[in-house]
Amino acid sequence: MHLAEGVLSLPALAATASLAVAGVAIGLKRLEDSRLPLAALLGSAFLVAGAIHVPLGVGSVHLLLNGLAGLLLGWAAFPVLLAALLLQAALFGFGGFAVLGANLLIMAVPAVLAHYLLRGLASDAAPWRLRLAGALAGVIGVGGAGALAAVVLTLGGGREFAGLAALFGAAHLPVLALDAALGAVAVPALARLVPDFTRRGTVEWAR
Amino acid sequence: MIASGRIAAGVALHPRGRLAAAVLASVGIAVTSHRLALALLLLAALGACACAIVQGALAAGTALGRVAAVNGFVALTALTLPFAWTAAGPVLDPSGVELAWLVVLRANAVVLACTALLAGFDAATLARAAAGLRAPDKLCRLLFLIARYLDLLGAERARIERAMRARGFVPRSDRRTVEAYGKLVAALLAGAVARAERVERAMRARGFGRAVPAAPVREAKAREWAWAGGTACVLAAAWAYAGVG
Repeated sequence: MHLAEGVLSLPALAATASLAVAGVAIGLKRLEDSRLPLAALLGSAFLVAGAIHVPLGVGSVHLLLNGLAGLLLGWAAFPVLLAALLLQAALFGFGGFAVLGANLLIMAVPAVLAHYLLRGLASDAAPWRLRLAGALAGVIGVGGAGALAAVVLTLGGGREFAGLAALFGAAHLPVLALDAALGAVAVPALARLVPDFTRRGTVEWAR
Repeated sequence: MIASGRIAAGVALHPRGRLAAAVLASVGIAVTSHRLALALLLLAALGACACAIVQGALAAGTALGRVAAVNGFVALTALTLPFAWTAAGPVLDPSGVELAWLVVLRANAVVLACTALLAGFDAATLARAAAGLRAPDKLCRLLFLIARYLDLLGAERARIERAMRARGFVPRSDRRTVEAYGKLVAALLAGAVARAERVERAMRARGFGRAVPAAPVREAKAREWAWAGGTACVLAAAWAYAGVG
């Protein structure tokens, strides 16, 4: 889910960058020093997991997992996803540095939203609630990212971008289905592997 | 765009100067809306890539792969932008055509410029460069730690996948694959949590109040900034030649 450089106008780039900076500042402020290794390890785990390609028809789909990351990281999703996007921009050439703010907002806003909407659901031990929380994390994460990308494209590019925004959203429907199905498996499995994971495995749940 | 300093193969020299130059090039190209200026910048970026490849700092395949990846999105843009959808069907829209040109030129110029300027960067170099540019301390420590753990968790994922394949797992488009990968993601996250707890305990046992000490930053030498200076000169020259204000 990366917008390429060159699509957004200057005001859109400036606006998204300022909002992203504010999000990162909040995330860093709330991220306690003692939770830094956990945030970094979760960030690395999500980066590694995001490279998994699941075959689909003739092609393959890779995971986004921003909703699941948000569920565990809370506001720390902003700095952690920024680090991930910086690495991707610098090492793999995905996205550029000017459009980084827009790409961060697109990924991190649904992540934080997933945290606040699902933390109650996921702190319950009932397996079906954990499954539901995992599935909804995928829906909120990818669906939110697609919707935000469409909004940013149409507001920041111009009316000419409406067609692209629709196409971009449609292209992410398989990712949404996959992220939701996978989250429904991953969250209950994580709860089995890490007892008390809402306290031990999350960056700001205990707050 | 390579203003000074030789790039050694695989080793990033002057990382902060080059990161600053890459950010400057990205922003400079993104705000340019003049086709001639963009074409000149694209040529300059192409030249910089060619220099990096000739010097052995950049593999031609890497550069090509990145350009191809970016152009997937660009192709979508170039195919949808020139048409306005009316009740009578798609109509060619001149302002959309102009916009499509700008997107194609900008996206390719940025990816080429960044590929050339950041040739040889790895995760640790990026973290060092960000610290050198005085990014917030906690963010830099986060970058250092992610750079440290990325290889580790990548190896962990490879180990688990090998074990899955040894038990006859073949990825397909089915429910079983989704379940297997869901458990793989959970195992990766559980491993991350367990390691984080060990790291935190070990740090505390050694008397660290803060979880990770900040990286020392030395003062920049003038020639590190030559990268950013050179990039600024190229941008200014392209704008001036194309008559952009």
